Amino acid sequence: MVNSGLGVEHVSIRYGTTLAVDDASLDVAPGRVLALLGASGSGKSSLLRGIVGLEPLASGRVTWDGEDLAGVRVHKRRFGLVFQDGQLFPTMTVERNVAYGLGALDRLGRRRRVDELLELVGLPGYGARRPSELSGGEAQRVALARALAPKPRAIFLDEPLSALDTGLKRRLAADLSRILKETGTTAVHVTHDQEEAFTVADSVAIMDAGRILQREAPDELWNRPSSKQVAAFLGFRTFVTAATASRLGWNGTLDVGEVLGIGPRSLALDDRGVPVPVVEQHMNVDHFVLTVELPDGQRATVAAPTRTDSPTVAVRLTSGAITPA
Amino acid sequence: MRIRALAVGVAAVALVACSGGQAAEPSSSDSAGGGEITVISHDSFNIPDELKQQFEQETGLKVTYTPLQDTGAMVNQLVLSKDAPLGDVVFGIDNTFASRAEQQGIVDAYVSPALDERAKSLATEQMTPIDFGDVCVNADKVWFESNNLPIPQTLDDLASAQYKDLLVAPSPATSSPGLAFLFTTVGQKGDGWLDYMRDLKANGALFVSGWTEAYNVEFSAGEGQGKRPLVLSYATSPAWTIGDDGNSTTVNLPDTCFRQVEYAAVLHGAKNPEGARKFVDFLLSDAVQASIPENMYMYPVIEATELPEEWVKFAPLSEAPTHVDAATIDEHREQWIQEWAEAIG
Amino acid sequence: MDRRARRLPGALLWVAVAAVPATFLAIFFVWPACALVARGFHNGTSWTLDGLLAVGRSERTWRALWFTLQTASVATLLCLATGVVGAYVLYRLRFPGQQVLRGLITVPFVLPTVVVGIAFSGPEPVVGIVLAMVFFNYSVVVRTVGALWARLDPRQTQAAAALGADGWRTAWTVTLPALRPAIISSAALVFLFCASGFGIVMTLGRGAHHTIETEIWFQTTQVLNLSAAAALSIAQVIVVTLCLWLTSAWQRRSQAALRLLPETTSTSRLDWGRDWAPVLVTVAIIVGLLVVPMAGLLVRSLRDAGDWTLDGYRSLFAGALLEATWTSLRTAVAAAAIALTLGVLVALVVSRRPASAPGRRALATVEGAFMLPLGVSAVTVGFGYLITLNRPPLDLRSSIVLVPIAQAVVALPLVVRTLLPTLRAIDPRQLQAAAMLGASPARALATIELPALGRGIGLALGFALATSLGEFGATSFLARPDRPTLPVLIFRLFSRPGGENHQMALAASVWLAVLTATVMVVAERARPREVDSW
Repeated sequence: MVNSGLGVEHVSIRYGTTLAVDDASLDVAPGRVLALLGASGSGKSSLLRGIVGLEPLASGRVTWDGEDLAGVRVHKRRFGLVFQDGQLFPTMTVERNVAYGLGALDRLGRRRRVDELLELVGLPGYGARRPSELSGGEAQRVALARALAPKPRAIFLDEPLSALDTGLKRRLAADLSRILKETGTTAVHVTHDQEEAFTVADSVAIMDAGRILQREAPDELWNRPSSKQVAAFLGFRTFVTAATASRLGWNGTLDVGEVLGIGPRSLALDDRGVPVPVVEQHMNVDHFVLTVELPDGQRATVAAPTRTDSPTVAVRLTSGAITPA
Repeated sequence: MRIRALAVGVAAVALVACSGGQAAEPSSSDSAGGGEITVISHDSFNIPDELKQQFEQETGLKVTYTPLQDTGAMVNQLVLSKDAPLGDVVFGIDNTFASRAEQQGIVDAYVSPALDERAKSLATEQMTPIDFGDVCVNADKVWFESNNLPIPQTLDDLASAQYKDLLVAPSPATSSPGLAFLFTTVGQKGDGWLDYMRDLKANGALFVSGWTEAYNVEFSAGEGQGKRPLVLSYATSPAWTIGDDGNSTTVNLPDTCFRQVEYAAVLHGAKNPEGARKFVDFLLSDAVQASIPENMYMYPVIEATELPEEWVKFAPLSEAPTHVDAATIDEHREQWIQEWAEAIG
Repeated sequence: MDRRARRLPGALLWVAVAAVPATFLAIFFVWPACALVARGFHNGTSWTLDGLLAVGRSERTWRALWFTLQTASVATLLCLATGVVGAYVLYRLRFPGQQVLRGLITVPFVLPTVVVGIAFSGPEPVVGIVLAMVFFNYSVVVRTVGALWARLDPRQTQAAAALGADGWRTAWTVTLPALRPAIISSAALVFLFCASGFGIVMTLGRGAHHTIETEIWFQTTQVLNLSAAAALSIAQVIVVTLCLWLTSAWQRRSQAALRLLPETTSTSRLDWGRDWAPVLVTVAIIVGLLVVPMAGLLVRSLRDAGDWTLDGYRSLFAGALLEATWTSLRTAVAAAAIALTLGVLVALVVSRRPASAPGRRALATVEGAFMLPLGVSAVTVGFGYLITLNRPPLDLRSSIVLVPIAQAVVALPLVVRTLLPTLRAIDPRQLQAAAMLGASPARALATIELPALGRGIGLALGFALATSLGEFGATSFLARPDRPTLPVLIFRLFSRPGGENHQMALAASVWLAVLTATVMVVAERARPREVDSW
């Protein structure tokens, strides 16, 4: 069903003379989660705001189940939005915040739904608190609960986790993924963090300079980025020819006009592999990162469990991103 | 929504307040029946409530009193609203504004038959005198006694070095007694009046904005117990400074007086000229005339009216008040005020 | 194309909302004022600019203009310097008796100028005039700035402190910029109040010092030189427009959305070690500038010829006091209701955030237009009524309803200026969040914007009531049926001879001061703290 769910067709958004979104098209089927991944300033938040109706479109259209939303005002679109900083209403309690979109329900129904959602986001019993009494993570959970409460037909998350610390971010990303799946919610998740994008989303769209570069399922995106630009954004910063790849023990094949992108996890230490000189090494969270010089003179990194004292290590190329040259 | 409730509450109260105000007000639309008049006056117009009620009962007229600010502002407001007059009868136009009122055509001629001989001599062609009084310099007797200084008598005395820094007067530019004093100087000094004013200023005379500031703030025998023992006020003022010994502690200087006569008149275009004339006559009735000294601090125009004892003793009228022709005043008033203001104020 | 069509109804609705206060001001302010000014350019037979030129050539006019600008500027700066400190103490800190103090500082706002004149008359009239202006307007700064300050997120200052900024640097770099909308807003108000100050200059200037306002009064009421008055009125409008234009330009540069919190969470308990300096300054100001003059008034009202006496109060209560109080309160409630209703509408309209630049410019102009009554002489408007509202169905010249209406015109700018900062401070994303949750613009207005207005409304109501209670200028130029308000009664008592009348006038002034303080304290308490229900 091409027509079901969210459709974005050739959307452009302008701020004065700046083109923030340039001819973006995508669709999200019901129940699916799309991550919009891009560096800051890539236009991903603008696109999100354009979709929900907070920014006027310079051209193109946004549809739901095939129906053009141009004439539908923001509050009639039945979309949910979670802001980067939550934007809880400071004058209301958590309960009233979550219940804000539940006007259609009676008092008891509202209360039940609020309890249900606070339970879902892991904050049971927080109803009477004030937004000012919440931590950053709690505030974002409440914001999520508030957005989900009216059962929107799609929810839009604008960098909801970016203000949080790394550990919390990982936990919340996992929770978010679970909650979206459990509730079967259609979602668009804007982020600049690829890990977060891959954790949460069924498919990922990469944006740069207002354009959507590629849109794929995470593993497909990871294995076959559509350009060096996309590959680089995913961490594949070194590109080698088929010859170099096979010298390094890679057993895949490349078509003409393709190169292999080497990312942080493409090379593995292997005693039977090819020895390469170590240029530099440093520690990263729970492992060491060795920078090595490849046979073609380029540099790449390989993860190691310990620091190495020898000037060379033996490595093997186990995977890579097949990228157009 | 508590906020909404509050707003609604406020609005409701306001409605009640407004409508309450209107309900008590006679609606002007039924004035065609001739049962109503509106009295325009300056802010000092004051007659006892019993007399007002008595008038309404006797004539069947419903009276609305509309006091404006001071005499000058009142006359100017009447001039501006000439095409659709504010009321039927006006009280308080004085002899300094009389010719403007008559020339601008804001009043219709009505001289009440109730006037006695003295009052007739004060009447103009179109207006009926109601009361009068003198604006004079007053002196604090106690201060002059304790400072061993003779009380000054004339305008020239006031400008002499002996009396330096002693006089306070309301400004001619901002108050009607102040303006009366300007007329005194014009009447006595002719074209030299402005030079005299300059001398006065050079001699330390203080001009303040109004009578209250002069008498009750700066004057040494006033309520504020100020520093200056000479003040421009009214001939009747000594009647309000009776000391413990039954004598007044102040005295007026008869050679510095200017006479003000206040008139009542029927407004041109009045909806109820008949009622207006009745009101003018009412102001000349014995009861109203007798109430004037206590309520408006002026001398009643009808000579036979009995005066308060203190007035007879301590507030004598000047026997020869300074006279300036009303037409001359009207012709030059603005020019004189402007000249004074540019030079002194 | 269709997008434009979709937005239009919303914009049209706001235009319709704006039309209500605009019509009110057009009838009760613009038309009368313009009609009178127009008379000044007509010499009876033809249009002429002679009057204008004559006024322009008079040295007196220029003296008045400079005096107006200088005194108003100095007084505004003094008010700001002291008022911001006062706002900190009275709104950012918490201590018992605070509410009463907040009410008390507003009392000068309504005191008769004769009373103030007595308190501030000294050897140097100009110093007296400036001090009296500060005395009158201190509360405007304290309350406007305080209302915003009480809700600023303290974490920003904490962040600055954590970055190693000391108290002064934090105040200078973080707090003051955040308060700028309210500071600018109150500065504009105070300047306009000072520049249009009539009573103070009349009383303390002793005829030797004039402002444009007193000159207009003089030319209009005393000599009926309408062309001079018209020229001066135009000068006044130019000054006001310049002032508003400057402040709005400044304000536009500093219009960052602020993070506002409910008041209780962001105030802190008085800490003597930290707060001694601002507390001392504020105490000095309140005592020196407010308590001493008021205590002086109280003492004088109780003394007659060297003896203590309650005679003034006795004869006052036996006489006209209760009726005048009732008239005053009724008028004030009606005026405040009108001013508040219109003020909320204006504030809501002006606080819209149109996407287009012409839209924003149009709103800035609208905002300025509603401030004009502050700077235009009550005399001009009052005399203008005489020649405009003189025919049915609008023959209101001598109707009692004109009094609250005229007072509402005077109070409206104050109300708008008080409400605007609270609305402007709302993060636009709060409204977007509400819309995303399905709230219609009306519901977003009711649940997000109106609660934010709540804090301002108590204050605005207080200001509107106080303005009306103390209003004398506009009232006294209206041809109204004889129902004196308290200030009019006081004025009359003061202008009658005899100790008893003087005593009564002083006692009535004390009574008016007490009444105002009470009204302000009640307004402060009665305001909806937060709208919790839906």
